[in-house]
Amino acid sequence: MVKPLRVGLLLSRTPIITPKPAPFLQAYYKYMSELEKRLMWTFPSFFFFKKGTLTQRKFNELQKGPIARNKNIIFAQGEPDVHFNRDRRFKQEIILEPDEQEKVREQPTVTEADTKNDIKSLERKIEQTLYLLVNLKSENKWKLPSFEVPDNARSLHYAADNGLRSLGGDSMNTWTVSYTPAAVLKSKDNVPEFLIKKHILQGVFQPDANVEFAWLCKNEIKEKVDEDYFKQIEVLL
Amino acid sequence: MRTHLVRNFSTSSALLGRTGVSIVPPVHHLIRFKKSQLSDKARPPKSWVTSAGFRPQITRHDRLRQHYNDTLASDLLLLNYTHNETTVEGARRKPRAPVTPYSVYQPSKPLPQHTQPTKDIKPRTSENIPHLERISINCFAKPAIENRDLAITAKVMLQHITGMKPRDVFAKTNLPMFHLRPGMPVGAKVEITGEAMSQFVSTLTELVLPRSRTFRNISGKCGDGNGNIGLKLTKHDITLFPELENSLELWPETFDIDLIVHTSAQTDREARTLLSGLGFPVSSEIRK
Repeated sequence: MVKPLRVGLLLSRTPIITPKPAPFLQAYYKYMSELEKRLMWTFPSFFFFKKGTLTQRKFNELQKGPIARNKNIIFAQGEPDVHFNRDRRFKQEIILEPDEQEKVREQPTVTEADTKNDIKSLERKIEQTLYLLVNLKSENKWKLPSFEVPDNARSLHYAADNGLRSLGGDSMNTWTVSYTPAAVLKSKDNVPEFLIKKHILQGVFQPDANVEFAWLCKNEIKEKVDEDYFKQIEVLL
Repeated sequence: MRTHLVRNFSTSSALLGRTGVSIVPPVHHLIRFKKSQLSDKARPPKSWVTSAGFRPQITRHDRLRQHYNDTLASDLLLLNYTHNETTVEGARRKPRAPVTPYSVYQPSKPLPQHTQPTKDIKPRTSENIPHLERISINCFAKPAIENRDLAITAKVMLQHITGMKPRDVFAKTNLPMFHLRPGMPVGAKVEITGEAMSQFVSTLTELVLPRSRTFRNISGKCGDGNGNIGLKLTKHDITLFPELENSLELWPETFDIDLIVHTSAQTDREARTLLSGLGFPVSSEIRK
């Protein structure tokens, strides 16, 4: 008699874009980058725009020159320190053609799935990692997908893969991070559940009608699952 | 009444309400200093804002680091993890056994022929997940032997693509048949860390390598045995860096460069896995 085993799946969708830093961090970055610009070397326009060329003329016309130093004038707020057409007391501001600047446009990070609160979509919360949670109607309990390991199974990750295909169909592309299980979960019936970590790369999870599913981030998982269960999987998320 | 003064980083005397140096000729040295202030010990380190060499290190959100922290680190830990692992001792000279009063004063046992000493491989934990340490870039500009000005071109080229100030490389050997003499400038080199390294890696993996016609992939066999990976970029690849691409007519010549990516990985295989996760194309043929 083979000891019964269960295999679970930690199927995640990794962040699609870099998250926006916290407001305090943004302020810190802004301060440091302004300080860096202040200390930066003068832009060598003589290197990029050769003397007497049309491009040099166009570039020079766009620039706002510094206030020139004049020995006959008393500068109350400090004398200009002009070198290569830059006041070295300040950061150098280089003005480019307006069309060039307009090319970079920030796109919204809130997607259509976010506004509709479509928890079945993979395009929600693109700044965070999402994990697949399922709710079988027979059990009526949200948890990570888990399957019985058949006696003739070749290995845990094969069993996990077969289980995922039988539950969610064949129309997705996943990558198994490692054959090593990421964790063992304890259950009341004393059957250990080994968690295999996977990433979804492409496609959709399409289960039967009697299975509910959701792609959720860590905070949302906490609200959906039992407290004891969340304590066990918290470190993995 | 004195109004708000703009600070000059070259001199801070103005802030204190004095001129600092004499501006009325004849100019003499009027700044009082002690000789001990001129020693290296008295100079503030570069990390201090009062130092002349100060440069802010963290100026923007690091995308590569964020990706590493969010996704890569936990994956690498699981990938490299082996259950009940113990330290694998590296090859090194060991004392002779058994220890006798005679053997204590004997030289230690040499390694077998053609084997280099290697480091111990410690069990993989969350403390030693491989990460990028630094990238050293070396550019040997061969045409600089004929035309020594091209060594400056190589230096400026490295400065453009890395954003850091490179150092000169001088010839050490005397090779009369190549007209090479010791002391001739033959190229430039630079080591990048932190933000500059992250920027360089993302430019390389997102803009340069995908468009390169010559670069195939990082071989599945490469590495120096300590988790450091070397790769080469040809002079055509260099022109794909956006810093050079938009002003190609300014560059009479570009040069091949050698990169060495230093990682904290214990084996080459782990280092290659890390690079693959960072977006470098790595060949699938495997060697430990």
